[in-house]
Amino acid sequence: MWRFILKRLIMLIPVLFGVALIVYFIMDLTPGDPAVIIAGEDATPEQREAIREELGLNDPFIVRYGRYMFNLFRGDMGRSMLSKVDVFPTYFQKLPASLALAFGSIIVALLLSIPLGVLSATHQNTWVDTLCTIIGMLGMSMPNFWLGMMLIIAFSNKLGWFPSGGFDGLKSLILPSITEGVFLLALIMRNTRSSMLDVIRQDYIVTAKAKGVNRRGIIWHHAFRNALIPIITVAGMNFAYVLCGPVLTETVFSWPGVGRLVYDGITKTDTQLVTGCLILSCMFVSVINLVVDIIYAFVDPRIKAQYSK
Amino acid sequence: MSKNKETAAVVETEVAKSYKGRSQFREVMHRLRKNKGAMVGLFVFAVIIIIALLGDVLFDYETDVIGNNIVDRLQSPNANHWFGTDEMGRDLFARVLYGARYSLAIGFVSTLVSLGIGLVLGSIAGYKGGWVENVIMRITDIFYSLPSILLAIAVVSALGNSMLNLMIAVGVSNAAAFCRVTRASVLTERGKDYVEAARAIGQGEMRIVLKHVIPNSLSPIIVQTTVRVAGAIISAAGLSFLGLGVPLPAPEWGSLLSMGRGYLRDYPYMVIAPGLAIMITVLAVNLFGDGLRDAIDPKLKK
Repeated sequence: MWRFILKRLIMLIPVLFGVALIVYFIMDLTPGDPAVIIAGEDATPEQREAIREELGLNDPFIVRYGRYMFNLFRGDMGRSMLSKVDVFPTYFQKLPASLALAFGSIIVALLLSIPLGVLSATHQNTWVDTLCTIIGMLGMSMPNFWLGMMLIIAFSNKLGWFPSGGFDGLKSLILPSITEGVFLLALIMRNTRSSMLDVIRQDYIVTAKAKGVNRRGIIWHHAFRNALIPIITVAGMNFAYVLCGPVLTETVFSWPGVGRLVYDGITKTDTQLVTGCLILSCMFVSVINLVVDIIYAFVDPRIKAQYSK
Repeated sequence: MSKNKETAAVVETEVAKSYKGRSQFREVMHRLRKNKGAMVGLFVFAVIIIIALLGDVLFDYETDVIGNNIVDRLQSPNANHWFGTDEMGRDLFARVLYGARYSLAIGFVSTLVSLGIGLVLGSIAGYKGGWVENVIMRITDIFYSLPSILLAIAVVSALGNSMLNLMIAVGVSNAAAFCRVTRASVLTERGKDYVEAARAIGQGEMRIVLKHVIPNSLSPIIVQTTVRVAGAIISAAGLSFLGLGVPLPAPEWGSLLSMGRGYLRDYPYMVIAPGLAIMITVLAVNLFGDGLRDAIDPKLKK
């Protein structure tokens, strides 16, 4: 088990090199001279040249990339070109808001999707199932930033129940969590349903029924535990995305999170900031994927047995 | 006894007749036609395509779609302006209907971009194996671990704001998924007997891949394509919403939403119609896609 975790962590290193290379390369193509961005529009050509020399911007691409990676391994992600603050603390300053949003939306999604999915599977082809299917279909098809605006119109402008933006306590978390969670809700619900339907038809469920186990016991104890693996995969994979990419939800709700930070960085050509934030985000994604794999092992003894080999 | 045999023989030939000439394609179409959801989706999608194609016939771009008419600004929906008007007095009904062409074009073209990249790289990886596969799949992993919306934002800002660049950005950010699906599918086909047989009669590698392996691996790729068209329409609207998509004043649905955002408190009509338009389009694609998946692989149907 430990060897497996260690191996996965070591495999992370080339991925991070790759991510940095791609991001560095794309940001390098971005029009706009970093020297102008740093020195301002009215700097003289000499001043700009001095800044370029100082930052090593005149070096070839591969030299700059190499230097960046060298510094990265010493724990130095450089400074934001605009705010002149180190990238590392900037990222972690924005992280709590993003984490809160990520957990909020996962909670919204899991609390509703799993019961609805199970209900839908156990009542296959009834009106309950149809209703759940429709909810799932709508949730998958709705642009979430639009849903966010609709929620603002209804619950903060008309009814005044929740604030329309900003991160200020639990109350401000509710609308963004629903906005970000709805797609996930639909996705997990559909997965739970099909996964449950697969399991319900297995022989051991029939056996349990024949032995006289009550319905609730069969569904939650026998069927649901075995249906959990695909559900965990989807939830885990998407948790990572919710954590790193909710730019749109963060924009709609003026949420001070990482997605917004990266977006601002990209539009202002702040290469240092963007590269650093994306590398950190990818680390999170990979670590979460690793955690998901470990959770599997706890849910499914068969997988655990594979690891211990 | 002999009569029984005769009837059995008749039944057999009847059965054989009904299956004869029924290709896999026709089987799939037959199952698809029986799926109500898929047919509704297809119908709605067809209507949206027609609206997109007729945009220039129905409305005059210069006057109806982008022409200002300040006197009529910010009207609620009424008999003249079914969806109301925006802050420049432009009719939202005309703008939303005209906007269909942008979303559809971006949805299709960007998916073609990702399909092209993914199909080529995925089939090379799946068929060749070895270090080639390793290199391609590790690069795919890297792209996969970047959140696709952030990747798309970065690509658009590197290439500049335009519809073509938006298509490329969305296409590139989704290519990794196609690459994975194609590889997995080709990998299972590669080991089958017919590939061995084709090799045995001396067919070239290129021919085997193009004529035999890819056609047989298509089902999951087709399913993936419909899913991605829906996703691409939403991503493109999202990027336009952030101001990184189709340049103004074109009435792309995402840009309409972004303009309406400033009027959320006093004039919510501006964001309702464009959002519904996106949702209906994506819903139609998803319904059709679900039906297609069930028709291609009935085992998956629940």
